[in-house]
Amino acid sequence: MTDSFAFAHQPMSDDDLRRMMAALVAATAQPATSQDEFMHLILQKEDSIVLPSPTAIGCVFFSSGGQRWGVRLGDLDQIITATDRAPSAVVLPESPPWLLGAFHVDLEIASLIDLSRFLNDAIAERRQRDIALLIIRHAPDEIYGLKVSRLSFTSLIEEHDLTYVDAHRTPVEHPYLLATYTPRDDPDAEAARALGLLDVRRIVATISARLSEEGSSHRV
Amino acid sequence: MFETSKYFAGFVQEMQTYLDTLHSLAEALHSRPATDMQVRELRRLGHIISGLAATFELPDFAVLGAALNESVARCISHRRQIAQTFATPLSLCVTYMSQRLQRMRRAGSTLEPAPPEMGTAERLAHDLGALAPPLPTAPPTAIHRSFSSPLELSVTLAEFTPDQQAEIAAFLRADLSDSGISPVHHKDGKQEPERQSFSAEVIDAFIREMGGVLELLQMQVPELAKATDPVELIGLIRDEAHQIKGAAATIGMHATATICAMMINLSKALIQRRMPLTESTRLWLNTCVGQLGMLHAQIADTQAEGDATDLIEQMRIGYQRLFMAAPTRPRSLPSRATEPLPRPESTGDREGAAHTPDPYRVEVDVRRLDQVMRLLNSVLLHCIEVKRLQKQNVTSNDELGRVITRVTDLYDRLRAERAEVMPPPVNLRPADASLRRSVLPRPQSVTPLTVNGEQIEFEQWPEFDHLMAMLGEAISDLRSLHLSLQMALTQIGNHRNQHDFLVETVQRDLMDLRMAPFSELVAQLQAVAEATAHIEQKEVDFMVEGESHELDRDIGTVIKEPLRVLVRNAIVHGIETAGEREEAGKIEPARVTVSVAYAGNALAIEVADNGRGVSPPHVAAPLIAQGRMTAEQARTLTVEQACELLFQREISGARKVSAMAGHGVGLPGARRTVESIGGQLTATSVPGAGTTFHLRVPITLSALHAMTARVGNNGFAIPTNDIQFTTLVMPEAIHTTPDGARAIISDLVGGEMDVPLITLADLLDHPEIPTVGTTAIIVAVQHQRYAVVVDQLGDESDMVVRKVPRHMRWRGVRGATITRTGEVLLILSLPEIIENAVESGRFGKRTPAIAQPSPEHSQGEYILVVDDSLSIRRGLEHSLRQAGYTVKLARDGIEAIEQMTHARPRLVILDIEMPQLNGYEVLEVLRTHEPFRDVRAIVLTSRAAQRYRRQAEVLGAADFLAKPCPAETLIAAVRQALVV
Repeated sequence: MTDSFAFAHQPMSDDDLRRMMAALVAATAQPATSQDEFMHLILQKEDSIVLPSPTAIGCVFFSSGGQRWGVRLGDLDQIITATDRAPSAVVLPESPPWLLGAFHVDLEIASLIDLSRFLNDAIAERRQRDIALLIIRHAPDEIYGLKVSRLSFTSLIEEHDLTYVDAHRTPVEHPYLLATYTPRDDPDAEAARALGLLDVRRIVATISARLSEEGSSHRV
Repeated sequence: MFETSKYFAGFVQEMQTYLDTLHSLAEALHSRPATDMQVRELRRLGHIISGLAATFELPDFAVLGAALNESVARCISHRRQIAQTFATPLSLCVTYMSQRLQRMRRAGSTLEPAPPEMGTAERLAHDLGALAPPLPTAPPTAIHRSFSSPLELSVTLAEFTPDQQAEIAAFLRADLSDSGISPVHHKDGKQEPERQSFSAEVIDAFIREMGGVLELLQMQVPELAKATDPVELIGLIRDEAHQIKGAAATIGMHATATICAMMINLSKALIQRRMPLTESTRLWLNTCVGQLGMLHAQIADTQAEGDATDLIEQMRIGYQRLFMAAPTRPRSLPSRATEPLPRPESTGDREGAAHTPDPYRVEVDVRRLDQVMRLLNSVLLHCIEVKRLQKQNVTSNDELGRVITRVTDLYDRLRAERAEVMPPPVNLRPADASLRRSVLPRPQSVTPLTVNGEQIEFEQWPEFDHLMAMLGEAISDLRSLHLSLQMALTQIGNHRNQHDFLVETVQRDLMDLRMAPFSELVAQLQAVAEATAHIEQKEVDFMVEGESHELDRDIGTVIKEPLRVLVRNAIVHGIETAGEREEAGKIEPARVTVSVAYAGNALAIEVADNGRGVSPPHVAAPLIAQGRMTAEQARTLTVEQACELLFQREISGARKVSAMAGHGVGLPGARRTVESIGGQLTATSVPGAGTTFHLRVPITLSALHAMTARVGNNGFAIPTNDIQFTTLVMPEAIHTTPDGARAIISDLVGGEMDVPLITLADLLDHPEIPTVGTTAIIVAVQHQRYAVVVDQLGDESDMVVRKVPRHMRWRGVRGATITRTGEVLLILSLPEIIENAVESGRFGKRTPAIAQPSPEHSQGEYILVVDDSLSIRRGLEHSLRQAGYTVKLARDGIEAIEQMTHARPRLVILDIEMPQLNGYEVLEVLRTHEPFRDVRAIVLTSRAAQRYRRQAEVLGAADFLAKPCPAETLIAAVRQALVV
């Protein structure tokens, strides 16, 4: 997935994003056809295209708990935007507050997680109108939907622009921070501040472990 | 019209698969005759190819498929082998179809056969047909005997006792409804069979198919009289009936389908030997074939069945009579086994080794799968038709948009015209010509035209009248579009109903695929009984009643071992030796009876013996020996308590440990196994008369009958088995005790009971979800009833159970189901959750919110939005629902009053200008009618002038808002009005 491609800081519509995701996911399985499809998408946006780089990583940025985070597209299975299907989750008994309940992804039962609550982000988001779900399959029967605020943009990030967090050497700002990224040549001062990439796979693994722990006392 | 192009790729792929299989079969035929399985496969392929070809309008493929199907069927019927002679014609057919398919693939679409190709196909079909024995020229005369025999037809339901009538009704419901057939509609009833219009081609295809199958039936049924082994023949008859039934049900030929369903059920009963094959049975089957022949002729003449109500009623009576006359078959064991029998454990082990069940594989009757496929095909056709109608609606909607633009344009022009010629203060009535003449200047450019001295208006105001005429046209267009949209909506509604019906049928059929009759377990139980009786040297009659009841194969696998334990236990511990029975004066033979019956959503199985029964001292003895019970306690031990102790691990009723008994793990283990699938195992006993073990298990784990309950935005499914009853709980009936909240509720017989009360939200440990309802579900947990309060209860329905992921399998969560709207409902086991809450001390910690109803929400209250504009109604509904209110809508004042009379709202949001009864008049009704005195009202109108506001206030409106009104302002006004 790292030999991916994207549109540098180009705001994308939900539809574009979905198609891009589908092509990216499919590219892993069927490179021949999906690469063509993806190239076609790129050619459609030729004005704003950054040519594919073998060391670039596709990322999607979003808001959660008042902060802007990014995740690697390759870590996700699917993105569901509220305009597609607003998830109606049903609460689970005695569940932690960040587990919003059960919903379904293509008729498979999945867990809906409030990412900002899970990360204990300072700013509680009372109203999340333009939510999106980052769908991750952790195990064959374990699917998680991480609820985040509106997706901001997708970006192709060069590997050398990322500063990976090394827990052994640097103090860790955030337990799930994977890397930081500072956009270069960006005249927008606000956007130019460092953005954090979350290790979403580790987040999901932790959620799974915590749920197993929580549920062990009253699980059948 | 079926869009063949859209499904072409799938068609080619599917057809290629069938042709490949056919090719392999043809190759195999070159070397040896077809096996039974190959014969069935050949016939199935012929049937599928003909059906698929008909759908894609390929007559040559259809002819070849039908010829193959028919030819093989005739060979089966005449018990003729399908030998090497079939190989070459079959290979030629496959080659022909493969070449055609190749051409179509190259062309990218289906291609009609050219005349020479069609000729080739027909010749090949003829060659295939010539290989099979010919059909008789005329059917036997007996076939056309109708059900006119007084012996058969004079029977009416009145001849049966009420219990028998109920049994018949239940039997018919179970048998016929499971067959996917609509109930037969009576002449005097209001229900009419749902008829869907199918094209003449479809009906012609059905007539042809039915004709072919009927010919086979007409040969096979008379053969029953002389057949030495009729089971195989009955199997063929069942298959033929199945084939007609599937097609008939799909195109709405209900009488045909119903007769076939009865034939199928009877055939099944004959095959399973639940029914003897008698003269009456043969006669009835003959009659069925005769009646099917008449229906076939009727359909061929008129493309419809006509009124077949009487016919079906007659057939039904005959059917009932046959089943009522069927005896229950006892299974008697030899009085004393003389030959050594294998030990049941080793038998079981060997069986287990030989047939290790794979939980992911089930054997499925391919015909049932075909039936599902056919139904799914119909579903697809309905979807296509709905899509077409939707497209049509889009076009109509576009047209509507254009007409609205025209009307708007006209309106603007009329306004401009009016502004030009009319001074604004004057309130003109257009019809008043004299006023118009006196006020308005006449256009100078127009010469007035008079007829008999009267001016003609359109000449007087040509532009105005021209615009009026255009407006009239636009209105006419609008009406036409309205009609078109309405018709399309009706059609979509009809298709949707059909679609829902078919989807439900598919769902039921798919669930049925998992079902197996209890009889599949009987052989093993009988073996256990025989072996145990042999070892214990006891004389036992082993009987099974109700073995035709079906249950999920998974459940069957799970309860197999507990049932063996129960049967073994009954013979070892329950049944006395011959000497003991004689001593006790028991003259009837020792008997162990396994009876099976449906009990709602569950299967109730009883294993009863007429032996010595449970003796409390006998049960207490080992406990006293272990020091776990005193002699005093043993003396007061009741039979009921003793029965319960049998399921405790440390107790064994056996006097000595043997291969059969004495381990004390059989019954506890059986109970644990049964409970693991949500079942129950209990025992009752009458000392000296016998013991009965009551086993209750769900019929299936894939589906359950449940009731929907809602709390806040959350939906749950509560299995009906867990619900004793539901009731309303009034706030004044709630009282608080040191142990928590309790409520006095009415029970089913009008008495009162004081029960612990908790909201479902509290029970699930989600107190932040406000409970605003007063409906309670009464659940019993260990002889104690509990009231669980929910916001709303929905309908009961069958739900497909989906397993939840491992990390969601909390105690009390049985699974989940997904509704048609995509909502996930969690299936809860309330008894388990209550037990858990009681154990964790959560029960009674909080007083339910119902005791302090919120000022904004209380029982049954809602906001009524009254406006004649659909868009405004929908907009308001959305905003109010978003804010958490329950909303109902009314189009005008009359509808509003009707709704209020039915259920009083808390608040009414009213428009002023409405047809029939305007807003002021509704306010007047609210003000002057006692029942509505407390109902608050907010006026929401485009008439923003002060005088309108004053008038509303005079009539008692709580607030007055001008359109357009932001949602925030509206919600604030609603909150204010409700608080006041």
